[in-house]
Amino acid sequence: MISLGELSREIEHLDPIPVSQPLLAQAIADPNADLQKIVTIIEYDPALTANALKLANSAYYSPGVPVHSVREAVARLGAGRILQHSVGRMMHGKLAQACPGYDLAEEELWHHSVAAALAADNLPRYAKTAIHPVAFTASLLHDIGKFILSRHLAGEVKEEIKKVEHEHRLPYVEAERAVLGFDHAQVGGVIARRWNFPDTLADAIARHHHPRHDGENSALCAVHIGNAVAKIIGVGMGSEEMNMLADSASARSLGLTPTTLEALCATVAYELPSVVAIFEEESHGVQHSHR
Amino acid sequence: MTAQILTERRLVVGVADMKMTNRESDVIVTHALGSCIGIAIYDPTAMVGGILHFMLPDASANPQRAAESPWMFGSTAIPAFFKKAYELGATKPRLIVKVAGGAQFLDDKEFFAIGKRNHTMMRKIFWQNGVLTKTEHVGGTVSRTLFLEMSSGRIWIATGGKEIDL
Repeated sequence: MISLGELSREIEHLDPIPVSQPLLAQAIADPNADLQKIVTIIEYDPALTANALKLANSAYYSPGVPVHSVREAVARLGAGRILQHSVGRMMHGKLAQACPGYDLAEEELWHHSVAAALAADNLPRYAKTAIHPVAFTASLLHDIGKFILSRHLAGEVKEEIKKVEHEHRLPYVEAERAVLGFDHAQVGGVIARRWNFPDTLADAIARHHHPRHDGENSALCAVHIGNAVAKIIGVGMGSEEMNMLADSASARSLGLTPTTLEALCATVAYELPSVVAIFEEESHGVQHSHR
Repeated sequence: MTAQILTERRLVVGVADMKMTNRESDVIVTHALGSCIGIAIYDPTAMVGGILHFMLPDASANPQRAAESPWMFGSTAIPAFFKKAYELGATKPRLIVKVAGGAQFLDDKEFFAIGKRNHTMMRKIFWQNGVLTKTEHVGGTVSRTLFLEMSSGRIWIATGGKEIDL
């Protein structure tokens, strides 16, 4: 059975990500970073700039007035959304793969990830609370640990997790931890730190099954809710199914009610196909530009 | 004698969706029933059957989405679903009604108890309209797939690697 140390060495060999992404995430997480710093980081990366402008002018986000500069794109979308789409475009190829260790077919983890990100994106409309902008990217990456761990959950290990889950009546993630000594959320946090994403973002991934609701990390609560919303709309059940804690205190800390939670679910289910299409269009665009 | 060309056709019902048929060779299936509810109905005499997969209990939570997606909310989807069956010749006394889904997260305050609220909404509408369910496989934390085979009227679920007849 693999240890977290061995897995960390495997994570060391993951493809690096463009340096602009953690830089942008750190600027977003820094309360003292000004707009000019964010604009400069985006402008120094041609791919990020192209993505920001294309997204700002997409049918989904554009009110019909064309955007010509990065500054206008940031004003229209927010830097958090630009980072989310840039990371999503990069991660599509990985997250769209099947994860047999979690009974997730091709595209399932990808759609689950986009649904969680879309929920975080729409949270302010229903929760009436400011959501930390790294929540958009953290939600998109919250199950990246499953992508890495899946190949190590073949046969006996997978069966052992199910057995412990049923015999001890544990949430899936606790059974995973009991068998492996760690869980997929922690692995996701290790990956986020390896990529130099800020602690706020890495913690929101690492603790998405164990949220705090002390108001310190609204991104963590948003990721927790995003994951629940994706399950409620039936996307990415996998072997975990609905056997997970859904923390009402996290929902209330964001100002959600049971009724606004349902309204949020309806919006995410309705908009998911068009948002998945935006991400996939973007990722195809980038593949072409690298040829 | 010419061979009967009635190949099995599989109709897949998405989330917030329904399929109804009067074709004997059809099999209807809906996947990933978590907190959503799947209602399978079958009238063997009229050879009418369908599956509804609704996601949320009450359309008043989001009237705009309810208008755009008529099968999303139980409060509006269930009456419309039965109406479709009656239009195809099904009658209430003959209809066999079986239900699956309504799972829940582990949630101490019932804030996220959408599966339970979905089931309550369905029971309320059935009670108001004198509809009786024959079998229900609801609750827990599991995901279910619901099937209806028109030729036999068999309705079953798949969950945790097992098939269970309803």
